[in-house]
Amino acid sequence: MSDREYILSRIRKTTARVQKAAPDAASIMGRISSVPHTADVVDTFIQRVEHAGGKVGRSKDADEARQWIEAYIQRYGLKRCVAPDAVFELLGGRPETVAVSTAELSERGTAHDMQTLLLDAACGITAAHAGFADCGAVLIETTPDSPRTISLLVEAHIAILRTADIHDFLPGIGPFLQHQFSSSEPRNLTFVGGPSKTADIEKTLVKGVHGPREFTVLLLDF
Amino acid sequence: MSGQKKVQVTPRNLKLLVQERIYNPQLRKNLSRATSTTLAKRADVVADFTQWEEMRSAASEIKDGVIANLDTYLEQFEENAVSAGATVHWAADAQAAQSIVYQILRDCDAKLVVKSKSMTTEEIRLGHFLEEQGIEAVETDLGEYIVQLAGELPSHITAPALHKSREEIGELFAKKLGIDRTNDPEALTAIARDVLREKFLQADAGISGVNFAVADSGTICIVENEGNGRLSTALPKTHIAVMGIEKLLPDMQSLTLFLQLLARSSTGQRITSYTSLIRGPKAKDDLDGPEDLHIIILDNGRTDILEDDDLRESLNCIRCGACLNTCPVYQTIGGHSYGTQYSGPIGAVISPSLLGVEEAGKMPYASSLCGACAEICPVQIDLHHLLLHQRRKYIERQGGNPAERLLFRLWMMTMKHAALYSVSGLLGRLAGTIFGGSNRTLPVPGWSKSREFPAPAPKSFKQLWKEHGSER
Repeated sequence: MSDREYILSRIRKTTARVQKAAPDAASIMGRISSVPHTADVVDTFIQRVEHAGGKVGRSKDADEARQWIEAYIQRYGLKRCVAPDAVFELLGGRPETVAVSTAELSERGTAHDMQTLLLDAACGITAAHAGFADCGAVLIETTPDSPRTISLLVEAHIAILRTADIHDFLPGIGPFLQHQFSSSEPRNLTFVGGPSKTADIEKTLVKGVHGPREFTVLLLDF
Repeated sequence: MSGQKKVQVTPRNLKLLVQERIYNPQLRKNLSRATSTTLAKRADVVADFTQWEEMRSAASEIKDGVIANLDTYLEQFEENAVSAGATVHWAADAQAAQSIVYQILRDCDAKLVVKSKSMTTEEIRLGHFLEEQGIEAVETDLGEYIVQLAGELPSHITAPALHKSREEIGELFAKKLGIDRTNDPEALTAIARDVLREKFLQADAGISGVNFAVADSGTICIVENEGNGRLSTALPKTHIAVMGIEKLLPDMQSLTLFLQLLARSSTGQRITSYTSLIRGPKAKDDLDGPEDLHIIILDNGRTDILEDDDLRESLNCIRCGACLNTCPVYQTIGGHSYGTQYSGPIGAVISPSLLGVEEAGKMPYASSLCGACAEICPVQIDLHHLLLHQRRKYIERQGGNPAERLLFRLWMMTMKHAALYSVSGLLGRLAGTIFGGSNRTLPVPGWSKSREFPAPAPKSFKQLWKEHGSER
């Protein structure tokens, strides 16, 4: 008997005896999701991102957003920003600092070249699908033009989020996720709720253990 | 320093392990700081929700239903994971899991492996096994890296190096990495970052655990703060994920609830820095990510737990570690005193099944049965009753101690007969006036060395009732 058959037959011995219906997850979740959560969704979101060691910027149009990023890059002494072309479009063009689109990155050569560039004082910008006020996190997705490492090997990670996409309660994203995972394609999504951090030494918080030291959400009010 | 000693993996003497640690003031200080800080942070963020109790019972209900239909969910998970390009393996025990991992690593000619924190791989001693096979397996979670350097087991489910002070870690780094001595957490973390970043960039494979496995899409979820989990699953060409059979959830909607409970209960965060949802290896046009994803589904004693109608609910555990933080026994003796990978109340409940009775049968005695664990558990596992249940099973197997049996038989007799009860009360009070009171200890070995024997009340409840009953 294979290990698979062995394990499943052992489990079936019990499940056949116990005879309990599968949980109706949707109705159970409905029970808790109906409770109101926060009064001011945006303020709570900002406050909770900051509480988790992140920062929040806000912009009322594309120009302001682009200038905000230019200022950010200068303030932290970063050498370049790397982002998908779609993000530069959202910003109404490239910031006036050394901006590299991920499409150019992949044209440039090997994975090693890409890593080297990201590791050298770069800031990675990704678009976020949604934000969550109850936990102060955003949801980002890996796509061919938004690789995993641009929010990981870099010094600073900026997530661009439309203010209107902030939910009050994390379970609000359930239907979206269900949809995202409905095909059989590979998928890679991450909730980002702060910079890379640890408290493994005497519960002392240290930022930038393995990943970005800075995590910032730039809210687009437009 | 007891923290520097190498922990034995073979049969242990619980009493000795406890004695070694209970009088270590540094350890007590480290434990108390870590557990109280985490509990306070947890209380803060749990207060966000008026419906926290409803969230706990919803989670418990979902998990109960999944575990009672585990075969269906596992098959569903497997089918969906495979259709997204993952390879699914099944391992009946630790040894089977080890050889599957070894086979995969040999097939891709791996020399260096980065591991992200995983209790399940600790359970099967995977790192240790790989080192024996000549494959370098580096722990990349800072806490795990520290205990790996020290040659120890993790002392806490979510904070492996919680038993160590900054001085102890500074000394360890200086000795093992040949760097100048520093005790600054920031500097120590930066040193680890440099060492481990090289490993990430060179690693041939990444090994991770799995916090949740979502059945209806074949997705695995990894919850972490440092980014080492993401790096281990983004840079190397091969990703191996090891999960217990009990990690399943029905769908994404349920997952969002469990994410709320896990982060708050474990570290007192509203969410961790990184919660990754991974289905399949990298997509065809992705610029990074693993070419191959292997998921190993591990039994290793879990179907024994499933079979036991009382213990079954312990499979609901999401390994948050809150029961450790709140346990007065854990707070006093620390994780290493249990002598096993899983410590604290949940460790004492599941270890006899996962590691064997020989190895861990006595662990359920390391509890005062106060019930704080059950009260804090985000999935409402009735931990202290399960500890009692495990004690009963242990006694049934071992036959128990004849003297203890006699004592309890006498106790039962006394409690059943009013006359005997009155006489024993009288005798007790008499003995109390002789041995009890301040600075008096009872001459019973191992029981009263560090405790005063309390002086009994001069009159019994029955007497007082007689005297004052009419006043009501």
